[in-house]
Amino acid sequence: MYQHRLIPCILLKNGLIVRSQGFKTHQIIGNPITTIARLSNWNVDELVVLDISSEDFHDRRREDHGVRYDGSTTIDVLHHIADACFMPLAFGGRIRTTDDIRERLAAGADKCVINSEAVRRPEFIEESARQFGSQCIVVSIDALRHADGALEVFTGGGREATGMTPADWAGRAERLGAGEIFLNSIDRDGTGSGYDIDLIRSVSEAVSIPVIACGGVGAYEHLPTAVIDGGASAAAAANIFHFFELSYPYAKKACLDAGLTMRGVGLGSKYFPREPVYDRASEDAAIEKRLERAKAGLGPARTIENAARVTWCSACVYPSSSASYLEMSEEGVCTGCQAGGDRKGFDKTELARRRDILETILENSRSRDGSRHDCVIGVSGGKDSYFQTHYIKNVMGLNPLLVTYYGNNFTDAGHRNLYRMKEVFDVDHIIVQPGVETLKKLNRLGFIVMGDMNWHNHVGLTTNPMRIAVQNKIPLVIWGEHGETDISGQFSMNDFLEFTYRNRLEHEARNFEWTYMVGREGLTKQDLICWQYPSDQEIFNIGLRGIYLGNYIRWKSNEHLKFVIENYGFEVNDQPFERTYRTGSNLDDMHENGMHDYMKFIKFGYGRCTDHASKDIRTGDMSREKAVELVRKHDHIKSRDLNRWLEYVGMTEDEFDRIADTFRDPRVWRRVDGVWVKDNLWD
Amino acid sequence: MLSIIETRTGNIRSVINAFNKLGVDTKVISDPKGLAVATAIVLPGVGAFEHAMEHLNETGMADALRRRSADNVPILGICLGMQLLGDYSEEHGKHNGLGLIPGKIIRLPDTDGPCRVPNIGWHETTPTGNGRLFTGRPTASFYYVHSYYFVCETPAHGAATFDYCGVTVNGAVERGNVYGVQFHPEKSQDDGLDLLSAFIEKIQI
Repeated sequence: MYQHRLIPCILLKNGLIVRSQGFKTHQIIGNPITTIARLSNWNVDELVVLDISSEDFHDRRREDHGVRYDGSTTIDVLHHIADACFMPLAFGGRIRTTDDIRERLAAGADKCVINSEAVRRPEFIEESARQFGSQCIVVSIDALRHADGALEVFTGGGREATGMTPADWAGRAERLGAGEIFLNSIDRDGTGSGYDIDLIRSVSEAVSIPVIACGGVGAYEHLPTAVIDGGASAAAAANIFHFFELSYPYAKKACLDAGLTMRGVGLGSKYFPREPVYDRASEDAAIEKRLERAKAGLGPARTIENAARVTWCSACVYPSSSASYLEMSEEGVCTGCQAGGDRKGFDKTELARRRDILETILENSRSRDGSRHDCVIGVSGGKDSYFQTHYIKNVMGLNPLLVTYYGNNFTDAGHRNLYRMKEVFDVDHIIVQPGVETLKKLNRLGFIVMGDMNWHNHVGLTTNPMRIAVQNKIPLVIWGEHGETDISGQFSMNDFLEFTYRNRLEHEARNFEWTYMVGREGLTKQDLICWQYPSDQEIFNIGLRGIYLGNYIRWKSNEHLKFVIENYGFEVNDQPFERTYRTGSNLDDMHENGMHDYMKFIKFGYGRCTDHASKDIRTGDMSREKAVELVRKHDHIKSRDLNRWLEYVGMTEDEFDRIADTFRDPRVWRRVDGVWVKDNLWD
Repeated sequence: MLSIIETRTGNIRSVINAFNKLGVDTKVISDPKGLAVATAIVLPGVGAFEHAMEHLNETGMADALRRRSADNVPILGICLGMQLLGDYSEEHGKHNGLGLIPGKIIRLPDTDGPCRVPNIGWHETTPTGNGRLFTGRPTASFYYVHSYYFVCETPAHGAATFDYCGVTVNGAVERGNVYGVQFHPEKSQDDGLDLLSAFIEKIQI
């Protein structure tokens, strides 16, 4: 029986995964190794990796994104990919000679994808096929549909016209020995509007070798159309696989449901556990080295050669050393401002369309028989929690179950706000409270291992609502807004990004899964139950999704704050925070606005005040001049909650400072006459 | 020591990774002298038969492999490595192979179905009962990338087959201590690693 293939395509730029739009915009998604390891959990039929970098340079950015590979060439990254990739791998990008092919096959690729060089020098296809066999030569074709409907092949990343039609070029490539065609649509790329079926059909009818179709997939239902209507042998897509939980299994299910013959949905593997397995000896050595450097006062534990200097967005006050992935446009405007711009631009029709999508999701989640709650809302008891609960219960009419992770760091006002939610909204509320000794250990470990005492908080508050949802068979968890889309524009508002294990691991946990903590400070697996994410099978069984409300409705934090104060008696902090001018944010954790955030300053040279001021600039609530003044006042402050924390975990301030110094980002900081200095926004 | 032959056209790193995943150390051999200490041999390979065989002949590896096989050292050929075990291939003219399992390598036929050449993709593969690397299960799913296939002179050497749009194709062959698999176990996830585990068990006996 012939089995069609479903193929995720990963785009790499400077060693990181990017999402692509129109072959032009490339926003950074994250660490390729984490993603590929995740795909290995799922019986993926095949993987296409295209390195679109134009130079040998790897953008490793912040240390705690866990991008740990050595070297700066495409072969270096391929080596690391191959170590994590136990599915068939086609690898492309900058392949110009048969030596390039040999090198990639030796490094772990099963097939090589060639594009521009094949157009420039068609005999290259023939040479390669003869030497390595047709089966490992994939010719990639980037096709553009002109305004008059005519199709044309482009090369050089979609920039250079060739005058050939995709069908003619594919036919010629086959005659020269190509074993497979990878067909991408330039104008559909990143749009989510579905495949260009006529394009696919024109090519698959012109050749007898397999055609892999890519470009335009925005919903799982689009995938089978490449095969059924377009005649392709394999359906591929890139962006969609990064946006949703269990994306590949659900995509596979959509193909099987449409009647395609494929390998079944695979969840879990006895050889590839989802949770990373750490090499204990080398991790111990890394911690040891850090502590030694701290003791000797040597400063940063890593160096970056030829690090680019920090620049600041010309519209807001965000630095290029951003903790989350952020890019600057040629005009020097950050992706966060660009996304904020998108959102400001939503008119009534667009907002109505988004609300319709939300209503459908909520309706599907509603309990039919009253045996469970309609959805879970992850709440910290903050202003956004109040607003979310207001919106879901009192506007949309659902009966939610509130779930809170209680990390034992609440401010007094935050604690009161939290415990009032059941009265104010008349909702059921589960507050998960881990044991305090365990929390102290995790505070200490988080600080020493990754320079962040709040690992427990970030992982705990994203894990527990999902755990409780699975336990109660509630298929929907509602979050507020997606932090990185908001602050740095990492994703497009049209992606309708949802909560994923990958994002939790890479962003919340910084690639330190709970498994890392087992055996440290005497912690056992059982001590860490509150940080253990449900299994893929459990999530799949109930079709659990975690959506961000910010993707569907107008999200204005400052207005939410005013609204919940007036309507629900929400309390702001009785005294101002030292590290930001806002009083209504992060009341659930005194260190979140305090020493956790001070560590962000130590690492990346900026803090919460930069976050808040940038958001306020984007919504038109603050001038850039005022923002600069506030950043200058707040970003560097070492806040008083340090004393509580030091006492809580049993550490001296000197120890703290020395360890903190090992986390200074060498892109930002330099030591002059024994003092740490950096460039500033106002210089 | 499990020795992996450097064929210069292979995805050798993936094979090494797979064995490492199973906790087995490997050694890459490019000089026939290195084969003297091999307790088991893996012959991987991607690419054209002619080029690969030429390389084995020129380096003296072909003769060394035949000698070690005569000493009953287990050999596992993967993909092109499996085809090299045969008598000859018809890929780009007629070229002799190692002759360790009697049979010829011929091009996959054109079919009326959706099967295209090269055959790239997954096939449910059914053990014939003659093979020792398939444990218990009625079928297993493996990844194939090839345009040619192995036709055994002696049908009993066929260890597993798959259906290629109406044509029964050998997915695995076996003769004594010589094993060949047309598919890529190192790229076939759990089923593939199960097969390599079985190979490891056999060679330790």
